[in-house]
Amino acid sequence: MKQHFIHNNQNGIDLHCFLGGMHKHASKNHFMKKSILLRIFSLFLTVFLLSNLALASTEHAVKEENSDQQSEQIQSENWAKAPNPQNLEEKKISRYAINKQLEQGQANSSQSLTGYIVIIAILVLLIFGGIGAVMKDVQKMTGQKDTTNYNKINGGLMLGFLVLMLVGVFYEIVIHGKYVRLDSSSEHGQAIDNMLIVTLLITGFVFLITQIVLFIFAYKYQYNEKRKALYYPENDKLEILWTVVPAIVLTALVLFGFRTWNNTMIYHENRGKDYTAEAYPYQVELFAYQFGWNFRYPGPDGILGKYDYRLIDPATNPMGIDFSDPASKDDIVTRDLKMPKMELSRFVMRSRDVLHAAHFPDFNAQIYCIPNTQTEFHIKPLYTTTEKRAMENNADYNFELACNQICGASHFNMRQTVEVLDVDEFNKWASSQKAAFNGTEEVDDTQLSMTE
Amino acid sequence: MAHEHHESFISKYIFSQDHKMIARQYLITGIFMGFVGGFLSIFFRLQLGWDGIDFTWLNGLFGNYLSSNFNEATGDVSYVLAPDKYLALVTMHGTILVFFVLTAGLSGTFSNLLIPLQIGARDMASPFLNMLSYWFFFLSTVIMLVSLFIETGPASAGWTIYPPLSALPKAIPGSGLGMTLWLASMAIFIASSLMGALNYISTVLNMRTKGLSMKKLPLTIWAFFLTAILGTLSFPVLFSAALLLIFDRSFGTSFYLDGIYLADGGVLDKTGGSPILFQHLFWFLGHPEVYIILMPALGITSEVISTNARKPIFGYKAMVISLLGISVLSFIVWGHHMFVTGMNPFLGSIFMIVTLIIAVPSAIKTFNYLATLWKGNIHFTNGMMFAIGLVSLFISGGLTGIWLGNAAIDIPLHNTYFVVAHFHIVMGASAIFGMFSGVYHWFPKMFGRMMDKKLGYIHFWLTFISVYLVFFPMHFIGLAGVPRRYYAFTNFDFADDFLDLNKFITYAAILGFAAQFVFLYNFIKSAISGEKAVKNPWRANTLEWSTEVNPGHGNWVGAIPSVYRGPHEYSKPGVDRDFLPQWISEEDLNQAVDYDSEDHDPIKRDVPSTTQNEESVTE
Ligand code: HEM
Ligand SMILES: [Cu+2]
Ligand SMILES: [Cu+2]
Repeated sequence: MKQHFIHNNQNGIDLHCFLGGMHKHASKNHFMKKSILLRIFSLFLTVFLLSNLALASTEHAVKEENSDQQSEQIQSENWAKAPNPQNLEEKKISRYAINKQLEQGQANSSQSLTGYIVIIAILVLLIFGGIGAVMKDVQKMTGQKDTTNYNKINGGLMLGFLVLMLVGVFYEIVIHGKYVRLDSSSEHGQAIDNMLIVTLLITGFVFLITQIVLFIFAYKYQYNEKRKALYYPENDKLEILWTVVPAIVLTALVLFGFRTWNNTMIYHENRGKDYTAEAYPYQVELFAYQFGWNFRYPGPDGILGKYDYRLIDPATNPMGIDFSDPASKDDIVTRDLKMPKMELSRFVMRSRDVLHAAHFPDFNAQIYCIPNTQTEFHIKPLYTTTEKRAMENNADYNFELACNQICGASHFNMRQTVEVLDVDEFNKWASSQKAAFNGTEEVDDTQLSMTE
Repeated sequence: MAHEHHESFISKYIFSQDHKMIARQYLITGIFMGFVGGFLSIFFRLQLGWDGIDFTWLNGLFGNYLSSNFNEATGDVSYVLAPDKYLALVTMHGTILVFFVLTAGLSGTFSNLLIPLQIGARDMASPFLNMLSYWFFFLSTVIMLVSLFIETGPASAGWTIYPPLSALPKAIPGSGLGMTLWLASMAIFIASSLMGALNYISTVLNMRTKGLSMKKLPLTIWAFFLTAILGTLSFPVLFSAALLLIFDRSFGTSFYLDGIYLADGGVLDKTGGSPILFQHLFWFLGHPEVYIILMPALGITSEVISTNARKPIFGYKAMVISLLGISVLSFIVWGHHMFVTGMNPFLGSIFMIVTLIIAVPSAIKTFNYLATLWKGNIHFTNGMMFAIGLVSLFISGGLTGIWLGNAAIDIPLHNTYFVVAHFHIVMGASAIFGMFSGVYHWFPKMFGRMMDKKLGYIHFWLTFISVYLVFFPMHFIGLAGVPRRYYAFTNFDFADDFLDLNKFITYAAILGFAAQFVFLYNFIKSAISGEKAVKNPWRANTLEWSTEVNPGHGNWVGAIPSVYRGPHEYSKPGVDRDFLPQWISEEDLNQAVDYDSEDHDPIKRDVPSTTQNEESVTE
């Protein structure tokens, strides 16, 4: 093997010769190299400025509109605080202020698209233009031989990418951050939001630090013939440090997460026990099917009666309710989903055919709907629909329920609005509903079509 | 094995048992499937960008995906994507990319190419099994591709094929013949993957050259080895899950079905099964699978980064231990895909702890990469660029794992675009970057020629930028609660805010897809007429660079080299070169053997035309 090794020497060219060759052009190259760098730098500068410009143009209108609401905006920083009822009023106001911006943003959405296209166009130009221009320079000065210093170019581009990335992240937060729901309309949902904000801050910090370090290292330690890399294969202390610190942070997140998760899912402790009307005055059964939802309320007795999927008949008994159970006799079947404000609604989920998932983005609530199996989720809404509309400054705002488990062709189309009412109103509505049972163990389907 | 043996065209290029040829076969099949999967994604992204966009131009080949619209006013007929076929496209895109490109294409290519070459073996432990592995893979590819063109459309229940949807043709047309073909294809695929994995494991364990202890293995080999173990332990579970599904579909059993009433067909006569059982089985493979995809990419980048930063990988031992840790943990975290199935919250808590523990080894790896770059002397070869890109993406996507691993946060985010962003960045893009890194880096070993680095740079920057442009904004869509696998965003108030953004993402996706043609052109052109490679173009330490430029069957012309040190002795003080190959003995060193003579800085290198005579040895 050794032999074969040495044998190959003949094929190589002399390193010294090569370096010497470089030397001849050195003085000429020096000037050119500088101009190349300058070019790259100015390109990045332009990108930076232009993208900021695009940003500014979309933001302009927002600022004008809201200059008198500065103080309220500051309150939005209080979001991270633990929710408590006294805080609610404040929250509403701050949410309102933000929503003004939201509206404005919507009006500007086409502008924001233009901003994006500008950025993309610049990126493409940058890449082709930058590399192309440099290559031209290089060809001019070297004849045909490509002695471009690609390390320098790419090192510079790495740095440029970092800048672009940071601008992009900032841009995104400004343009699309407003859609992020950090003010959930349910009690447990607010706890989840707090959890989410803490996680966002921690991971956001790590994201910035590590990305910055990565690209700066890439730029700074780009190849230089005069330097030799540092031989540094390990350092136990450092490694222990970056094992232990993440471990501690994650432990904290886990503990925080436990609390939030358990508080949200606590009702599971009652699983299998009887749900009495006293313990859960507000219950509703949600029944998903391809492609829509039915709901059942327990009626005056407060108890949801038995069901059997074999009794399903879309026309007369869409939820397969077993009317031989006395508790079923007063149950209400409807297509309206209504909840009382500030009361815990116990949801029981079922599915008629394939898997679905009941996903309430407004309430940070989601659970699968499974045929012949019950899942459940408990939601305590904090605002009525009317209140929410005022807060959002949007007369058409609705709480929505979406299907979030792939279930077939119209998966994307299983929309259901959810109406939150004051307790009195809710009770009034509930007691005005007719029982599904019409004496013949069949649902009265006129009611179904009426309420649709 | 140094003797020359004559091989027919068929035994050399088709039913080859040479691991290097099999690697190339895997790579080319993988690239082909990558373009198919990529095309499908552009297809459905167009629908997302412009709801109801006219696809008449695709009616020839993809007519089975379109439904016709008759415009009464103009009398024109236009063709739009049918909603259930949108799901078919999503399903096939996911399946193809996850299994055919990033599992078989990635592991198949680089495990095959590098395991024998880097451990100093003439070939795999069982070359015949290895050949079978490829041809099983090929067969499964063909079946999967055929399923794209059948009348009822391919499988449409998502790449996770959850029953009952996947079991009931009446629930979605794709669950008919399409699903049958999917299951058949995957069963064959799993067989292929097991044959490959068993081979990799036994080769690594038994066939290492003299001096190459496990402690001196390149990180690539560690990654491929552990990946193969993960595969052998988890793929059979998917196989069982698929088998039970086949039984449910065709033989009247009911493992996954119970209590179903179908609008079209009434009460289904099946009781006692549980669709959730399938999810447990699926994710018992599914989660290890994501590491089966990622770990080879991490292994590749570890070697590429160390080589091109001219530094030892920082914390070799910690890198191996994290890989081990990830491998073990990845078997007990599957439940984090099922937090909101209604599982007992206590169980959810357990899955939450183990899931967040898995973030620790991931963090260690990231920091070690950064420390490796620190005070390095970085050569921005194409391979290195993609490796750095991987680190960036791995950070971005890994951090969102911490969100999703937290069961409480997963309640609102499960199955939203946030998850789509998470796994495309951390798995999809990262692993693709690892794959590109490997292709650029080992192209000289595979084809004896260099890829065009300028095209490589253009490819890198366009891809890198478009990946972020496509997937970063998706976090925001997800945080607003928008579900994945939606044909259109138009039906919900909280989703239709994103119509513009969807157009933008589609533009960016097209840019990214277009950039891949730069790669394709480069790949083909360079394989045919790229500049000739030298023996050790990157001046790397691992054994594959001690072979001829075009190693013949048997890899080394003379005796197999022995190994004298670990793989990362770059820039070692006291050595005048900035690398010190594993195969150079102390004796050679003392005699001042110039192992660096044929070559210069890989980037500035002005290739001499004197290396060609090597080829005559093998061909
Ligand atoms: C820091 C470590 C990571 C954590 C804590 C983590 C956590 C999670 C969680 C909890 C989910 C489920 C989200 C949901 O469906 O609601 C998820 C999804 C996913 N993750 Fe990760 N992840 C991590 C890293 C990775 C890596 C390294 C990969 C791939 C190489 C990966 C690939 C995926 C995929 C493919 C999915 C989605 C599967 C699907 O539903 O189709 N993750 N991740
Ligand atoms: Cu559904
Ligand atoms: Cu997972």
